[in-house]
Amino acid sequence: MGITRRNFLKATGVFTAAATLGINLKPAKAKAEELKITKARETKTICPYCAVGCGMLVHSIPHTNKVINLEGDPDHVINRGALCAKGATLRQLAGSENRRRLTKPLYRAPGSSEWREVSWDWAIEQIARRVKETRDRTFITRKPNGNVVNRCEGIASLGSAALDNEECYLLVKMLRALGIVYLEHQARI
Amino acid sequence: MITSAMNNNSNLALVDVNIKRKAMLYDASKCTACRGCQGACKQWHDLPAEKTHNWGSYQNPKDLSPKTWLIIRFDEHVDDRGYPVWLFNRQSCFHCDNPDCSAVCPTGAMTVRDDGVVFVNHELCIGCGNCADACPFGVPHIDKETEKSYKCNFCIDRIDNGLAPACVSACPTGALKYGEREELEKEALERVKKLKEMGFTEANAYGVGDYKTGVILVLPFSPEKYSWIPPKPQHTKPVVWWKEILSPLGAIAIGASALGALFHYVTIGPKRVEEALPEEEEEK
Repeated sequence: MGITRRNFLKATGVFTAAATLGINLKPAKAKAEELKITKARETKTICPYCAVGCGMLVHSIPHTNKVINLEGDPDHVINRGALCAKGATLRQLAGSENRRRLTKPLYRAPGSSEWREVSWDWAIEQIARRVKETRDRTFITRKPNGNVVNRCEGIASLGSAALDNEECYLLVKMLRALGIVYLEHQARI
Repeated sequence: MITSAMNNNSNLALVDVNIKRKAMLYDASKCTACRGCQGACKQWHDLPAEKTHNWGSYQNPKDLSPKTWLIIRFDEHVDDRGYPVWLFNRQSCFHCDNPDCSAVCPTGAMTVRDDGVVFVNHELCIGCGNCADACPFGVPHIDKETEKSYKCNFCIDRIDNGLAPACVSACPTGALKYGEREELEKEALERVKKLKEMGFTEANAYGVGDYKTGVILVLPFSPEKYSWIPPKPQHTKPVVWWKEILSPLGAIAIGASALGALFHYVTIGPKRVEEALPEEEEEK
């Protein structure tokens, strides 16, 4: 059965009418609101606050990098989409939201009242140099009674609750190597 | 061929043929008052922080506002043995059946959807404050700057796209659940039974009796002990009077006058304003 010109036109007319009705009437009735994250870029991250390590989804506008939504990752094995109050409001920490966020290290010299911006290389070198100086100056090999102690009493370490297991391992390893005995943790204070 | 094309197009519309009453279940006995929901609500709706002060409670802010649509309340109560009890509870819109706020809204901005969600259409809202006065739970708040009413909208954008509301997806303890109302109502009643077995003799489900709500609360203590929950919620009397008596009467009056006009037209005929009229008077 061939398609005549007349039948083809009829079919096209009916098709167009049906398609137009299909598009026009139903959305107007439904009032389905578009999700604000439909066109956003989705990035996975881990909450930086505590050691639980909840998974998060960050939705941002691709070209401007502005974060428009941040919520728990429903597929993450630890939190299954849930977040606490601090985690749920983590968006305030994002660079696009928080104008006071520091992006470069600041240095205030002893006795100075002003902060000045320094480079990462300079800051890391200074930290290393001062740790070494302090450690060499305050290292104690023996106690007055002659017992061998090999410890550094001039430096203390304050650990953070944001450190995960592996970071804590590395940190303690480094501190013990320096001979530091005063290892404290923020959550214990 | 045509039907398949229509189906393709109707994907745009997101029309659910069998719309069921959607609801949320808040189980106060599972809530740890971490306020993750409160933060998630602010985050999703881009609501700014408010400047608050310490008023002697962990609860912050003190009350709902146009910029705070959900708060976890930290109510305090002393039990029979003299021990203090901390009653955590969640205050937000209940999405009631036949809500008063919608009944009193003069512009129809307070919209009730087929799935039970009550939300403010800000294009229509004029900020008259009727909804804030009528709500038995004190939920809608008027922003004086924008002159519009604000309250929880059940994250309609999220639930239309298959996501749970922001507060529900943030809840770490499972105290908040989202789903169909019938199922959640059953779950609430089962939980109440379990709580009673555990020794909470006052345990009750709120919003499942005569006054049905879209947010069902499971409370381990009687509603009077909570600072803001009316023990027996009911529609405000002026609203009932207006809605059940005045409004139908008005409808009858309009219908009657229309009928009367028709009757008048049929029996007496249209009023004729003609040039002949003055002449008739002259004849008299």
